[in-house]
Amino acid sequence: MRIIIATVQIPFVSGGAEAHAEGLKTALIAEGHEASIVTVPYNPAVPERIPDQMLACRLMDLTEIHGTRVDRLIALKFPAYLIPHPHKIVWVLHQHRAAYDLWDYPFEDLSATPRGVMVREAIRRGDQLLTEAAAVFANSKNIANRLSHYCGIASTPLYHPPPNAESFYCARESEEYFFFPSRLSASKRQSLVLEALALTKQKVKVRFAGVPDSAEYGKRLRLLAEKLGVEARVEWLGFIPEEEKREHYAKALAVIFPPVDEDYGYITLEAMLSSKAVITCDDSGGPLEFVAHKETGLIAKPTAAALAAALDDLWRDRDLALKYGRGGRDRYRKLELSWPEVVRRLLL
Amino acid sequence: MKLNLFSPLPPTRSDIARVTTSLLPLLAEKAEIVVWSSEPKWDPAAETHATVRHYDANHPPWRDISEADVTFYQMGNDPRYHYPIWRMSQRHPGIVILHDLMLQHFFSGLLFHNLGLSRRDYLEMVERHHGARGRVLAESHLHGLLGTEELGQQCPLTGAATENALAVVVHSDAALHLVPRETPVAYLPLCVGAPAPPENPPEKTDADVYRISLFGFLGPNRRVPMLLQALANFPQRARFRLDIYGTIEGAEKIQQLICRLGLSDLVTMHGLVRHDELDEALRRTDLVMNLRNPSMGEASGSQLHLWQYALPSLVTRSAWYAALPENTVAFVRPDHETEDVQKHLAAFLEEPEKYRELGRNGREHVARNHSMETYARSLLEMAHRAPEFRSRWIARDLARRAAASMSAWCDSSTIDAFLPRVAEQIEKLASGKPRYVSSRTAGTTSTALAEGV
Repeated sequence: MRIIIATVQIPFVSGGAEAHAEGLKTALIAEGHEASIVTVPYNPAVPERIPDQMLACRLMDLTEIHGTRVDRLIALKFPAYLIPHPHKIVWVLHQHRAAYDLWDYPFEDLSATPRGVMVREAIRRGDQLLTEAAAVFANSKNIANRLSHYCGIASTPLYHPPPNAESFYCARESEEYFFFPSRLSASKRQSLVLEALALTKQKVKVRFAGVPDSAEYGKRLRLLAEKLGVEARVEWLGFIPEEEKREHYAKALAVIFPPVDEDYGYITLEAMLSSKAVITCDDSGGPLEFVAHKETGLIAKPTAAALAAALDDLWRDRDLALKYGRGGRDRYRKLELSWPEVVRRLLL
Repeated sequence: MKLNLFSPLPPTRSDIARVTTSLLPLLAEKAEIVVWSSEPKWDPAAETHATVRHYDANHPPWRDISEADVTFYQMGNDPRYHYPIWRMSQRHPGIVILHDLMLQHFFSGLLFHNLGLSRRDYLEMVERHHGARGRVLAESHLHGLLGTEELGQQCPLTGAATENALAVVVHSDAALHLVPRETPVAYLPLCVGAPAPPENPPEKTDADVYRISLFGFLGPNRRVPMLLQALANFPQRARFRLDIYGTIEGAEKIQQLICRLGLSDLVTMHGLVRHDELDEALRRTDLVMNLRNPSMGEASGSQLHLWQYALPSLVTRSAWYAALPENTVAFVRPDHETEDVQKHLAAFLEEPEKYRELGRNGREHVARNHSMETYARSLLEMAHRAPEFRSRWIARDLARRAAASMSAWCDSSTIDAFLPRVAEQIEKLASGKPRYVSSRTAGTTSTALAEGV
């Protein structure tokens, strides 16, 4: 079949979603299909223009390319999933969460703009067009729950392996740090980890990898670390190549990943593939579908004190960290995540 | 349900402020109300039933404002009180309650009082809403060659006040056609601005001398000079006393006219008085002159108020007044004020009871058709329709922006060719209803028409 994968790209921002699209494309080709990624530029920074971008997607016609029919369109993200197609399959990675659960979160801008209410309404109504798809999948149970709760749309959770899943490993010897690889973003809560560090009884060290959403935000985090007096126990690695990232996973004592209601989160799965315990929070969303408390990691309350206690526990008891890490690896194996299975279900 | 209400509040001397205060307890029975005031101080009584918050229109707290399910804007004609409200309504679409239709006073006032509208912006606004001819008239107005009211008749600028509205509330049937067609508009009979007087108005009896009152904002359309002429030339003028309450445009000239006509003993200009003083004065009044020529188009809060005191009144047979029941007011023909007023004065002296009957009927009429309870209920019904209004607004906004984008690179015939598809997609986005629901989500094997499309 000729299949288009429709997604969006926020210029200069790259993360799991881009890897997801690439992974799907590779998998489709591996299964004998012809696949192409269509990427729509998307700029959520000007909320008033979001409806324009929705309309732009609605006006795209990808039913035929050069006179040849496109058999399937697999759409992944808002607003690309609004592109019409007679055989559209939506695999929701992202809705525009500021129109739903993150409406009144302080780090989201939509409610702070004069026409935010109107844009929210436009997004919510636009999302109802998901029902025109032949099938709706969600990237995780968390996303499926949100789709059901906020939009009344039923969807099927469909997990997939992280990119280069086979390349993750666990080093023979761990080094003295916890690893937190993620965009530096308010929603990922690096600041909470810094606050927790200030409260730990152990000399816990953390390596943060990832680029900030904005230079200003990166600076703010560094200032916070200084203010809390933990800068000596923190390393800011910035962008690191994939191979280096896997090495940091491999040598870490454990992985920290406490985002706010994450959609899915490769980081949890990558940590499990690296046989590392995961420390997360009970409001972190996606990671909670994989982390079993005191089996594959620790789930803490989203407070600096509770997180500090979890960090102390695994820093102090390295055997426990190893045990949870092995538990994570076993759990990953049991999930039987594979791209051929994903392709089979999407094209069923 | 949580509602924002942008409105002047007492002690602001505005009838709209009074209406808002009276409505709050009724609205608060069914919704959480936040009243937004551009003035830093307000009568604390307003906080009995609502949260009152101050805002700076230059830096509005959008996040807090966005918490409400819908926003109402009380829009009147006084630039001092309504400029911040108008600015907010332009940026944060809500339901605009129009208390005046001829908003030329308001917009040219913004220009003349340097309140935030430049000459260029003003002229562009008039041209946008009333075409090139409107602009020429507005320029004449700026050069002092055309009065505000005359300009207002031809270029009311009603649409400028409702440009970004989700919906508009008007208070007269006649107003419906003045609101731009694409905006949903509801006609709600205006409510009284204050509860009915606690005691019944005193029974009036025949007397040697009767008191006539004139009150409110007394611009040229209130025909004060004609009324004075009518009184001055009325043979039995000594049997009347005329009390004028409120702000009067050109007060000095009016005072001179009173002297020139020899009416100094009969006419008293009281200026702006407190509400309670006015109410007390109304209890002593026998007849009210409530003329409007030209009419500003909307329902008159003053008329409802005087009816609460069962007072007979003379009104101009035009706009909202023209539709009033014949048994509730005495009509005066536009541009025949002096002649008709004199006839009514003579008839009043002849049969005062007949006029008192009009006032009593008016009192019943106001109780039946203009209650605060009904009005508050209607506003809440409007609030519940906000999602529907938003859907229309989104469609309109998208259409406007799409047209603007396309007009940059298409000629009109190309735009026409594209329009159906653009319109179809706008309709789907704004309604949230796909035309077709496909098999696997619909639970059937074939494509099915979605419900309601």
